[in-house]
Amino acid sequence: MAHATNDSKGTIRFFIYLVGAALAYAVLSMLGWKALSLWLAILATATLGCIFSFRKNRPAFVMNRRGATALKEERARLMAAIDGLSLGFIFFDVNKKVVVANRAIEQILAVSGTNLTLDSIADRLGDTIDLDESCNRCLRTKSRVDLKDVEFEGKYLRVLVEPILAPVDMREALIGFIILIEDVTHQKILERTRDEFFAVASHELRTPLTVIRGNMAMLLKLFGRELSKNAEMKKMVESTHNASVGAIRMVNDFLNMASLEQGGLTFEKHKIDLKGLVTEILGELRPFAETKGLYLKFTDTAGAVTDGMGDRNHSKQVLFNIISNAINYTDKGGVTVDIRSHRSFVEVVVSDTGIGISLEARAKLFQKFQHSKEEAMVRDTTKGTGLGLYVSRLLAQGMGGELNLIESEVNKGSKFSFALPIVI
Amino acid sequence: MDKVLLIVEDNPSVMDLYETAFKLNSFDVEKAYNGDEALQRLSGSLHKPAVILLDIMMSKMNGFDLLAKLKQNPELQRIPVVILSNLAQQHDVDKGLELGAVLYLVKSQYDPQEVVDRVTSVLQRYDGKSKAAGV
Repeated sequence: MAHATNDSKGTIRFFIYLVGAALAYAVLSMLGWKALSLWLAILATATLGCIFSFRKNRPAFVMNRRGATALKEERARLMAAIDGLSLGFIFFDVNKKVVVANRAIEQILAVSGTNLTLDSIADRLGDTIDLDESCNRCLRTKSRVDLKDVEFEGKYLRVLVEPILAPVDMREALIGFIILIEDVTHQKILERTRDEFFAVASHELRTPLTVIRGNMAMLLKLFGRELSKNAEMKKMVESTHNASVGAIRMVNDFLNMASLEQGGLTFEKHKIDLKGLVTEILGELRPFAETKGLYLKFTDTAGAVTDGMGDRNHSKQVLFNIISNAINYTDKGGVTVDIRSHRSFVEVVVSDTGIGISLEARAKLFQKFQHSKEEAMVRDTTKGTGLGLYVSRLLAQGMGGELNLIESEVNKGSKFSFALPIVI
Repeated sequence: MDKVLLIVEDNPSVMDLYETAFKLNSFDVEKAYNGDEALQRLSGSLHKPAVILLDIMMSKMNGFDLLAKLKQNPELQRIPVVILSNLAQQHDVDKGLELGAVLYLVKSQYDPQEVVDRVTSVLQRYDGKSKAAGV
């Protein structure tokens, strides 16, 4: 292509010189310089031709010297960029011969750059991966081979074998492949630290709280008669039990929030008998409602359809949260739970006759660390961490459902709805 | 109903708590402080417990590994195992049940009496099954 273009430009230029020479001859002839006109025209044309030709088509020796310098500069820039990579980089041709490698590869694998071959790299990485086979697969399929968590001398590496395709003769051809090696040890340690944090937080924080809760519960149950003789002692044991239950709830809320925000929580999709689930939760919460002198009603208006699609444990957590909240924030009257089915979803509606939620508080209701009535600095933390509704909504959304406040009036009560997709 | 219970738990305070709760409910309680000790006790004993209450995070051999070994042993695989752990992630629960536990309880969510009640129901269910099978 490039040659054809230069040729046609040269031809045009030749005709221009020819026309120029003819014109010069004609003008000089008209001026009466007939003897000299032909030679002068030829000389002028040749001079102009030389000037233009030199400008347009520089002599090869000029081009080579300047081009080579530019090429050197370009190569230096490219090598500096490759050397600047924290990833190990090696470019192989299709015959698996090293074309170029950077310094990082020497540092990561502790090898000398002068003796670098595919075999020497494979030897260093050992038997944990078959590097030669991975390269063959990359060349054969012309697609990336990603080898994760390769253990190497106490480090974790990610090894990528990537084909290099470039345009040759109007089509894309495989000209080689690159191996990229990344030291992911730090990332692995961070991941492990996160997992360990969850395990430690789950186990080590809950365990002492379990012991406190359990012993207090046993004192209340087994030594209730003795404790009744001393009202103050009984109150101390009861408040220790309640505080331990509250602390366990807080730990659970924090762990759930962290797990949800990191996308570490799995959501099962099963048919859930919501009627059965609500009955189970009401059974667990009835003693709590009774101690406050509240009624706890369950009305099922859904007809035959009470099955939703979602994760049973997470659904239980959401429902437990909104029903226990309703009891928590109600001092007179009680709580009614209703199941309603619609065309594509089934919803559990929890209505209470409690303190209600003001318009300002509604805006922050599903945010972190918010309670229905208090400002952050004066909130009553005995009622929880303020994460319950935030976590519950994330759980509902994770199951393809919704959690909303339908209506609320201060000092009259609130109505929450938890909806799940219906089983088709 | 045979009420011999083996508690496998590495935390002495937790062990004391459940030992007291079960003894007060007329259980005979045997104790092992890690998976290794539990396996040795079970393998050498002629009188097997009616039910095992098993923690997960323990030194030497964790609860999951012990459970897998119990289910591979023809002499021990029929003993119902109730996991009682503070690991509450769904994948832990799933793993425990897949390995053959009959129940997975998160310690912090239950008072000791509720744990005793749940274990008693498991025992009643298994006692009924054993009698029906003539074992």
